[in-house]
Amino acid sequence: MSTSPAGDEPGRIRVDHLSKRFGSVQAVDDLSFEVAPGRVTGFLGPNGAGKTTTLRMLLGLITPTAGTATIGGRRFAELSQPSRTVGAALEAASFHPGRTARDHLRVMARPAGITDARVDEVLDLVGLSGDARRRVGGYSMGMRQRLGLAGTLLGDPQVLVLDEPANGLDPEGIAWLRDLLRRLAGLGRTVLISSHMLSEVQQTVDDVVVIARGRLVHASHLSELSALARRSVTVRTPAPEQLATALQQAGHQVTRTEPVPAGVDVASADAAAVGLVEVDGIDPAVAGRAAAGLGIPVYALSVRELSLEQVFLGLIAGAGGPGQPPAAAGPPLPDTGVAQTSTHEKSTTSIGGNR
Amino acid sequence: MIAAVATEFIKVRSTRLWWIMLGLLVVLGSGMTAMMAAISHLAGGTGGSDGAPVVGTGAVYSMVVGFGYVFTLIMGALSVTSEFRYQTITPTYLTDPRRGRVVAGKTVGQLVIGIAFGIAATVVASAVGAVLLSILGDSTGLGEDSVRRSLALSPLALGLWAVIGVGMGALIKNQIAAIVVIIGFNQIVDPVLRLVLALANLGGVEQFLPTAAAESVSGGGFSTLMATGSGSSLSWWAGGLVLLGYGIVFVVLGWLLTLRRDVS
Repeated sequence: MSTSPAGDEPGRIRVDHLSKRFGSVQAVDDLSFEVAPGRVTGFLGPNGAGKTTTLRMLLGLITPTAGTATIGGRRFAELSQPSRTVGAALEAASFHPGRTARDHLRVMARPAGITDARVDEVLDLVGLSGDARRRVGGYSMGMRQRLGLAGTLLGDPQVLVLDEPANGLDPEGIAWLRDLLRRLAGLGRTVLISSHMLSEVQQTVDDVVVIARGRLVHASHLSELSALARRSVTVRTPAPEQLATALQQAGHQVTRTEPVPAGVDVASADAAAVGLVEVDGIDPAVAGRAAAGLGIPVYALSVRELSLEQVFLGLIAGAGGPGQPPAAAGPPLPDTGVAQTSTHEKSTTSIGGNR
Repeated sequence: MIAAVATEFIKVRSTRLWWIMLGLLVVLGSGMTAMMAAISHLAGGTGGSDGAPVVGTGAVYSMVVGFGYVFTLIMGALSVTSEFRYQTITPTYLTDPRRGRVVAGKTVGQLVIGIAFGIAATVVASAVGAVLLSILGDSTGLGEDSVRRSLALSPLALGLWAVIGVGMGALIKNQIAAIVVIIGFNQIVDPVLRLVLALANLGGVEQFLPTAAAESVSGGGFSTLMATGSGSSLSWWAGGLVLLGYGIVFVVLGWLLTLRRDVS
């Protein structure tokens, strides 16, 4: 057991060129990433991105069309006592409603030879001792989540795989879950949790793996994702092309140029009617100075700060177009209609009236 | 493998289905046994020395299997279909990814449970039948070798029906559909087929139908009385092998076609 085929340490999850096709739907497309022990990793993506399919392939429930997924260098089906290596909870609905919580866990415990005493122990750990002998049919969503989690802990496994574990938990439950997962990672365990919202797991995870449309979009430490949270500057000007060219020549990343609409008299038009230039990751002073240096009038200059969630949404949206390489040009900005309501916006008006 | 069988026992014991099914098997089995004892009495009794009675004691004691098989059959089928209905198949495969072993554990577990149910139902029903026959003043027939063999083998027949149920549940997978198919087979397909095959005189193929094979294990049943002329039946061990054969073929097909598939 100690020497694994791929030479991976016991708790490392390795997804290698994994693909799955259901009929005409490419659910997972050449996906590769790793999950390290001792850390909590968020497996993120919108609904339908292929998260659950990927987890089910990792757990031997779905056969991949191509590629492999291993835990400590072994496929799940090769594990001699899977409950003692990997604890996994996929849906909160995988219970027989007529079975008590305790019996549900006893059914799960028996194949691995786990005792009833351990069953009672994990029930206590997730705070279900008082309801252990009640039928699961009468359980709330939050209680089912706790029961699912109890099942994963039965064999005291090195690796924990949880699909949307925060669903249905109240804020207190989420805080409790966060503490538990942090503690397990602190003990050197591998913790992989999926979510469709970064904000839901932001305070829990160390690493993020983001997928969209079955493909990898981003994988890094959370801090590297945070570094992508940057600001952009929008300049309203009657000479957008001229300014864009100058800024590009100065090495800045112009993400959008909108020419002056035909027939607009720039002399009498207000700021919203003239063209604009949008530049990523630039100080507003630099943009303003560039315009002043060229003698270009600036009608409005606004700064937008991107939140981490917006970076995440940008990553996902960036993978949206067919045939577009994911994250090739960095995350595009969210549409202004959405962004302006939720972003911190600073505006300075006209700095030069010269024409 | 022992763990897989033990797991199946915990699964069955931890929901209410088992005692509903056991109750139905015992009550209906005993009821039908009592009814057949009464019919046997009205038809001239069983103690007469003047030739063979119209309805023998064998028919009285075969009612448990003849009517009760549907309950162990459904128990076996539900043991598979409920895993899909409630998606417990996911934790089942997560705790034991060797699916062949899971299926084998289920099959053996249901065989043992079917036999246990069969022992309980046979003991109660034969007691009811024997008491009633004595009250009516007839011979209980419990001294006859054929009756003793029938009583001893009835539990085995019910256990083998449970195995067939596991196979049918695996093949059909949908709970409602499985029950509909089983009831439809039980009430319509099987009796019609037996009658038609017997009348067509195809050299006794009808004796290889599952219900006919079961009756050759547990003694001639109700259907035998109805299907006139199909007197020839397999020996008890051949019938048992035919029944086991159906069970194994269904289970293996269910495993190959359904249980090895993706669980999503």
